[in-house]
Amino acid sequence: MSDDKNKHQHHILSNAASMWVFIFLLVFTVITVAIAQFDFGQLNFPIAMLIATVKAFAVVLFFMGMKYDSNDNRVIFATSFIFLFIFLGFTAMDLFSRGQIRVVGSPLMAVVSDKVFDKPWLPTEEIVAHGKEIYVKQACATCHGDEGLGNGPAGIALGARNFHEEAGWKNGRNPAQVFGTLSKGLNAMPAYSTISESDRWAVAHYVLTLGPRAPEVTEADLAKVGVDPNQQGAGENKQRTLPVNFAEKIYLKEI
Amino acid sequence: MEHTSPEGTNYINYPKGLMSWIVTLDHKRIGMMYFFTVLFFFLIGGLFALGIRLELFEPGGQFMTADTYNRFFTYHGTIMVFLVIIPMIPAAMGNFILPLQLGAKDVAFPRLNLASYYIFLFGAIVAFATLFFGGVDTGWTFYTPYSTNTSSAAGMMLTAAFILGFSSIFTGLNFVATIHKLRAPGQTWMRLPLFCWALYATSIIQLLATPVLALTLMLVAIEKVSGVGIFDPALGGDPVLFQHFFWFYSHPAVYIMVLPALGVINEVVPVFARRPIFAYKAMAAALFGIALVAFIVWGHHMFTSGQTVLTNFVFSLITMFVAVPTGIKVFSWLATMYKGNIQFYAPMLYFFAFMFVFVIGGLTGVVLATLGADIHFHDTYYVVAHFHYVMVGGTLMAFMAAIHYWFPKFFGRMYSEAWAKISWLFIFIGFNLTFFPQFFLGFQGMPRRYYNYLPDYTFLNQLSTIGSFLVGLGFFIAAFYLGHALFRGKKAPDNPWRALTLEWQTSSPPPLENFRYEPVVTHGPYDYGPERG
Amino acid sequence: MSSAHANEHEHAHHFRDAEHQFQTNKQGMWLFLLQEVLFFAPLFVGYIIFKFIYFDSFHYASKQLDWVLGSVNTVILIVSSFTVARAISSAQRGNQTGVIENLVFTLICGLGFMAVKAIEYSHKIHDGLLPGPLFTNTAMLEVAPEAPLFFTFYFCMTGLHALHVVGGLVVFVWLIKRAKRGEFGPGYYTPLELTGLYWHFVDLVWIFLFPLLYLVG
Repeated sequence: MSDDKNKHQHHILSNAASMWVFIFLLVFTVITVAIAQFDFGQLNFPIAMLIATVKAFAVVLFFMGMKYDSNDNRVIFATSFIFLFIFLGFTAMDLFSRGQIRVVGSPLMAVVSDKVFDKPWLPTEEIVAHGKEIYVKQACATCHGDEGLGNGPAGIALGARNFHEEAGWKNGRNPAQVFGTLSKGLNAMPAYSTISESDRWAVAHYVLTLGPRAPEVTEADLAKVGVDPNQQGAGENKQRTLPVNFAEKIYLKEI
Repeated sequence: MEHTSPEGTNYINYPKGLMSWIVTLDHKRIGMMYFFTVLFFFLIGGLFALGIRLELFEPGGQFMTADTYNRFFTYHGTIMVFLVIIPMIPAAMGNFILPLQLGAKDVAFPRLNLASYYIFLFGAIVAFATLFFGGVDTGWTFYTPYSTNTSSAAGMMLTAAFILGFSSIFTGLNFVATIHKLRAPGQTWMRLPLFCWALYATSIIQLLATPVLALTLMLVAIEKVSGVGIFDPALGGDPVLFQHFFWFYSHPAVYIMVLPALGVINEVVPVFARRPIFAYKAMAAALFGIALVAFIVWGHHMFTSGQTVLTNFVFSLITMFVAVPTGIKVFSWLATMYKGNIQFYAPMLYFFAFMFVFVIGGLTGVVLATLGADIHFHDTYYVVAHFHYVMVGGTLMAFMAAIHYWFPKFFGRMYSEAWAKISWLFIFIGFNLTFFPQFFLGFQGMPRRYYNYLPDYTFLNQLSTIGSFLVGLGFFIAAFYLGHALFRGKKAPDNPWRALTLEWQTSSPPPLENFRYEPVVTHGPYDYGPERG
Repeated sequence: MSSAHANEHEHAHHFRDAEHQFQTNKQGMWLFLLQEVLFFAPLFVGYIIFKFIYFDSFHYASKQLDWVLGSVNTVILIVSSFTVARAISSAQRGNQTGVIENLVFTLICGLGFMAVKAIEYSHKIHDGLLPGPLFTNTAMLEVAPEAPLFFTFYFCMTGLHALHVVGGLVVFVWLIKRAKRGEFGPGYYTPLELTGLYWHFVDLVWIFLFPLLYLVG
């Protein structure tokens, strides 16, 4: 059918050539083993791989005939190694960078504390001390600053409240109002309803000690935050979940 | 074996006899075998889906235990991914159409092609056999340590996936060799139909990615059986390593699913807009752009798995780039229609459905690629909605377009346009009703793979379930009118759509040897214009 | 230097001629080797990563491997690559005896490789140096707590490689049978070419495995 006796000549690897490649491979095997007797520290691995690659080239180019083959097959084989390196590279990037970059506690991470205060709307030394603990653990200082001056690194641009001031508290400055603000969020501050109610009361009390004396809590204020002071167990931590559409509203406000 | 068939016969009726089908080496017959097998598996996968949606109609257990539910979504996922969407367009349609479009007599390795089919069938049988050994409940993603520790039939399913992987690899191998070596004289690279380009990009992905999955699954199976493994922290191993290995395949895998779909769309739009495809070279290049980016973004499935911040950042950033070549394609299709003469046949309707659905899917993918957003959305219904929009919306709509486009060529019959439109309506409306609410469910925090949910989510779940049954109805109708057309449809002419690619230059259906007369290439594949109307 | 060509042999109907078929088949094998590289990839990737994470453990465990036997195996495979290349050039020149002899020698090398592997494995079993939970050498665990993981990789990687060797040997037996029937010559030697490519690949994998596991582990 086709008259191309001359067009389709397959390269024949001469006996001499195959012998030379064979010797080359043996020599480099000796080199591989010999070099391994020395310690080059970090370079051990790359050196060994380099020598192996040289041997591999000899096998691929001559024994596998790549030197005399079409571009197609070269690209095909080379491509497989490119993707092997991509696979290795990205996976190694992950596993080797572990523990190297630490994420500082984010304000959205809920701290777990099981302390329950009876009548938590009352400012006691105990609850204020606990509030200080939570303030630190919950990284409130990120925005509000270590001293509550509103000068934390994230807070300056976001207009974080300075607790030392008396004026300008949008929702009011008595403990129940501060508790309410913490629970629902305000402006850039997210809702901290995922930390327990006792903890929220504690933090409220603590931050209020940083400024002038806070106003007293009235029954109306308590009612606003859903607390009935006359009921048994009024200070207990209720279920710490959000209704779905409430969560949605907050999320939408945040973005 | 004879390769000249008698006048008046086609590949269906010549050669005759059941045996001639069972050991056929004819790519068209193999394609058809895949076609009907895949449709059957689609039915089963779909039934599992309906089971899921029925269970989720109300919160709390309806008629399933949690364990059963886990099995339902595992089988739905495994069947749809490995037995339907991956082989769907390449194996069922690529096998048939590719050699025709190239002007070749068959694929490069016909025996390997048949082997691919039987390996596929064997893998599928093993997969279904797991149902008799307690079923699998790991999810189609087989995450360790659950998959290595569970006593369910996961080991068997892993083996099935391993086997199926080789079917996919061999098909990819066959197609690359075919496209490289079997183009007809004059069929230069720049005259290749874009469907061929798409299959080429797909096949390269199949070859590069699937073996990694095969070995990974084998390692999980070994760890299950012997406790010997590299994914168990107690033995110094790492379960996140499994995820890296798994997603290195599984992300490119979704492009194995989508690229052939994009290829089909590239064929359909010029024909039914009567216009040349806009920016042919860019369209071909975009396919490869997508394929390339596909390989370097897999970590976006692992943002919450314990990947380091650096890695999360890198994968998030790179993932954004896939929108570029994809956008090129979307806008080029729009440009192709400009000043066109739109023919509102079913393939074109499915293109419109595809555009609407695929764009939503793609855009929500960008949302998920955004690292901060994904922390909230991962493992919620937002993800479920996203991938169903691209996979079902994208690939399945394109598959429906392809079925209707090539139906005359495959079977020599025309289907009923009226019924096609009715079915289309049910599928399109039903699909959106099923999955659009799921974006909101995910946004509101409903987790995926849970058989129970908060009462707040009930309404949207019910909408979704109703939608799923509308989709089912749509496909049921499709099965009917297509089945009817198979036997009673009007006889199809060689080229009912007046298309310009080579497969339309032979009879409908084609004869055994593909072309009775040497096909003559006198124009490019998309030279539509005023003269051709 | 003479040349071989393959256009007298019969060919399948969808190819232009025998040469077209030969070149396509060759490309098919290269495509298969491409996916083989990626098939071994996860083990190499996993090994390299863990090797750096558990540097000391892996280093200690690697020293338990017998580099002499490993070197012997490396040489054996190189010889076998040489002989399979010679088998192909013999066929290209029509030298029937050359074909058969070289194929037989390749087979013997392959069997030799498996024998050395068997010896190595038996040593490891004897010393309790087995993968993962099968590892029983508690003394070593004190010094090298991740040694079981090293041996998991050792056995999986050399095991997978050995499976490929065995596959190749089965094919060589079949090729020797065909060669004895005089089926290969300048006009047709495709199975030799394809198997040769596969066999060289098997050699390639070992060229990387050997230093990775035995020398710089």
